Amino acid sequence: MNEIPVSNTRAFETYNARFLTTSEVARTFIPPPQYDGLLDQNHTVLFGPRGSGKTTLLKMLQLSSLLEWKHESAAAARANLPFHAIFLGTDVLWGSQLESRTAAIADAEKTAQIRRTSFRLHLAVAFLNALNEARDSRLADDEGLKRFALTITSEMEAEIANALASIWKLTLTTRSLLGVRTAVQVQLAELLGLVNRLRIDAKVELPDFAHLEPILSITQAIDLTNQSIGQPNRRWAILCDELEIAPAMIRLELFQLLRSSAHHVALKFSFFPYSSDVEVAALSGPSAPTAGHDYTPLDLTYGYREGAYEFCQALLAGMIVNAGGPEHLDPQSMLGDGWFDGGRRHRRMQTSAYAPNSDYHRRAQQLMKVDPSFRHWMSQNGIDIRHIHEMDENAQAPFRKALPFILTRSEFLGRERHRSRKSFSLYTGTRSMFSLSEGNPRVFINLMRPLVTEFVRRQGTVPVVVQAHSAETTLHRFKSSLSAIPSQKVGPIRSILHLIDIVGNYFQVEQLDSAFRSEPPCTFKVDEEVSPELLELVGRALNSGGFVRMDDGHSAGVNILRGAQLRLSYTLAPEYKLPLATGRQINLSTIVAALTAGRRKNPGYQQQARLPFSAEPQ
Amino acid sequence: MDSTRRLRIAVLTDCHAYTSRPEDKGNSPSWLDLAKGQTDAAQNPFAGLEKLAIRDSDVRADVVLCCGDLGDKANPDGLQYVWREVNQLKDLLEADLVLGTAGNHDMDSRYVYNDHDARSQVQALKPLFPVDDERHWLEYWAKNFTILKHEDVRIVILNTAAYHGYAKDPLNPEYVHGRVSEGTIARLVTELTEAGPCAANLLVCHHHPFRNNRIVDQDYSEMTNGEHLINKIVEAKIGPWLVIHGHKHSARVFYAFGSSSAPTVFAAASFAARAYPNQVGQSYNEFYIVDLEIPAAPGATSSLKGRIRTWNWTYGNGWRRSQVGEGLGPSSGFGSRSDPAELATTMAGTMGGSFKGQTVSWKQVEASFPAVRHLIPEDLDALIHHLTQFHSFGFTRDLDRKEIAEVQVP
Repeated sequence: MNEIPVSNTRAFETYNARFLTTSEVARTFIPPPQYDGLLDQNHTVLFGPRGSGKTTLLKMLQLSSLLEWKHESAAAARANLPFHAIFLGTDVLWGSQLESRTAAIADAEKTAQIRRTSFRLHLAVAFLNALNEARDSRLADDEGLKRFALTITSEMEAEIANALASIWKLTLTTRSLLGVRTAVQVQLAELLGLVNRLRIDAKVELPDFAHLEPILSITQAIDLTNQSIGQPNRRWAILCDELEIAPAMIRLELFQLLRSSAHHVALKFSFFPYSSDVEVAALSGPSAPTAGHDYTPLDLTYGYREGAYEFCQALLAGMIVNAGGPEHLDPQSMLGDGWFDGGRRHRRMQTSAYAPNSDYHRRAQQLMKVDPSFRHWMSQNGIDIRHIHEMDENAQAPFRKALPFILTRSEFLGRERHRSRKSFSLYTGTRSMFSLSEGNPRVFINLMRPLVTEFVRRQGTVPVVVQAHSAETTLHRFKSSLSAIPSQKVGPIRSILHLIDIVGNYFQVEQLDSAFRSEPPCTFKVDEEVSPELLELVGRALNSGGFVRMDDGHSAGVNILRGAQLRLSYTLAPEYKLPLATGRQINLSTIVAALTAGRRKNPGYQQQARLPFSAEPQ
Repeated sequence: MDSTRRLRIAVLTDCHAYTSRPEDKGNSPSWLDLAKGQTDAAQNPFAGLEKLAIRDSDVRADVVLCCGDLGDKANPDGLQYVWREVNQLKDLLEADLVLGTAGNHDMDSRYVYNDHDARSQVQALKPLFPVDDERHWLEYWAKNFTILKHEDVRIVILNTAAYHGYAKDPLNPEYVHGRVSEGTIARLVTELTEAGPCAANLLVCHHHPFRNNRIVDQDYSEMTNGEHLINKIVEAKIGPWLVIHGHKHSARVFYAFGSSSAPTVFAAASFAARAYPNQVGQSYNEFYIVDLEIPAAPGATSSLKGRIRTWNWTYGNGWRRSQVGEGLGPSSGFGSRSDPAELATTMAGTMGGSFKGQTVSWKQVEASFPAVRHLIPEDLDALIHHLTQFHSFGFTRDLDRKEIAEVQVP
């Protein structure tokens, strides 16, 4: 088919990268800081929740994607790529669907072997795809990638086909790579037939090809291919995407492989931040692979929001150019400054952010009028609102630290406690909007797409009301995605969304309803008192992006959740009227205990806290 | 470079467009329901075709051909909608000419919309149907056929539903079958003979000239006098023929009865009709581009040669190239009447010498044995069977359309 180039129809769409072609992925790929970490020959595990760009990152290691990539960093990436990538995308056949189809087979060992074989066959197809990519004639013309170009003569092809047929126990109709691929498909079809037969009769014998070890058979294939093409030292990387939906057994076996060190085959996995079986395996003793030693962990979340700014700025610039806007645009000119941006406007104007009539000063003054506890705190700390700007930095420090909470209290505490409107405008402005996205490309694109369109249309700063509207839409979309995740009830906690609600409401009560403190709790620790069931639910919330990990848990061990410091996603901050800030940590068990204690004292407590504020008793 | 002149003919037929009503129950006749949206490429075959043609520059034709049954049961909205859409394909496919022919569903033979004139709706279509030219329009409706010439190809458009609504026998209603009368055959043959030989002749009609029992056990809907018509146009000795027809909603390419000069018949499947209950799983919605090779001169060949590319439409997915095993398959040749067994023996002898033990691409095989490209699907299957069974060849199909991609020479 002669494809007529279609304009960037799916560019910066929020589709799952799973459904995009390599050229579609490459067209708009903006590398996050973690990308460079993938470009080495070490084993790597990418940890990230939904939408954090795991699939995109792995796909961007393939020759076909790198060839299409036009970004300014592309030439360096092509030059530095140390391996020929074999990308194994998620496939329902080796994912959870196979898990359910094989569940009815009585013989556990046969079931395990079928799952391994299905994985192996998909890996074989991925290897053949990778070989095909290297035959693209355009590779030879690319300075960085030409070392990966393969010219496979028909004799060479027949030799490779025969070798693969021998180690993979294939029956070839033609001695070619297509013949190999077809034979692999035949084995896959036979395997599915076998599953159906085994469900009826567990005594059915497995064919020879179903006894091969997945990774061994692929490393053998790599060795033999390297020999045939005359490049015995050619390096490869096996990229396994979305391991969280692979059968647990495969996931664990792959995880254990990170301890191996076949020097010419690197493993790159992508994974949810938490998986209970991997946690168990990681804790299982000296044979478990260790982060930083056996593999490099790369976390795609940003515990501290500043970490995501550079990537968000680059992503926004890409979206603007793609929408027909100018290049090299200062994002401030599109989104302006925000309340949580750290007083950047004042710094630019070289005025004190706390001077009388400054925005922050007015906010503090407003809060003084309505919040006796804040007045008390100010006087206790010896801060005179009229002279803060004249104080030295050390003396200003408590006020500076308390500023995010001053902002939310002044916004949401009126003469009547909790003014009823839900204010999203507090969260607008460049860095605040970046923070709302959590540096998650899918959320970011959802959040920014209408704003970019508006910006290109009006050629000027996007009004606060438009930004606020997009933040609200993004919040609702995020919440619906959270509510769609199936989860089991843990005691009084019904679901992931309910757990998030409990934590969000707790922080809200602590930050808005209690007396003013400069450091109310904002983050929580998954402490020892947390039950295994609740831990699992917290893990799922982490995987969904509802919670974000604050500590560098992956380098300390593998993704071990107990003891971790977490916070609520900033995307949800407007929902609970929380500032875009981090602060003191509290035990999760304390938060959950407050729920049950509140219920004991006042059974309606928790329900009331979830009501819109306008409906609350004054 | 191949200097053969070609005529590309886009073929779509049996659209059966209709307007559903809320009270309708049971099977709906077509994916073209005018009560529903018409812009979704995955739900409306015309919208889908537009998307396909925009994306794929190979979806182009010189002539757009619609073999009847535009609307369902002479639904006037359906007739108008489909004819307008078919005419819009002219620009989309960069074609020069749009042609149609009437089907049984285009005649109001049950007088639902009119109490005396079964042709009124179809004759009222604008642009003029079946060809937007006053003289040809008059001829078609007066003589039941008209003859055009395009790019050295003679095209006969025949009305096989000419008597629908006019026969008297209530026990044997005319609308259940097609018909070409003795008078029409005589007039047609006279005109063809007077015009003399032509390098390529195309007969376009709605009904099939021969009984087709491939799907339905008892088929009585063929064109009465169809065999006679075919015999007469062959006897006229005015050049090779390709017959393109619709009606059966079932695709097949085959050779008519008689000699090696008998016409090639291309039965096109429906563009948009939903499968009848007894055809589910056997009937596909298809769109075709016939790549007809125009012989260098009259008398150059007894069999027109060419290839047909097929696209398959499924609700929710839109158009994509068909796979082997679906309807006509992704592509079909026609015009080479070689004996498959003899051809297999020749190929085995030649290839066994020059390519012994090698894997050869099918393209290379076609280049070495051009007759292979023009085998109809059933002959191609026979050839592969002979090469596998009697000469130990191996074949690998591509993963996309499941067409033969490579041959392993023993």
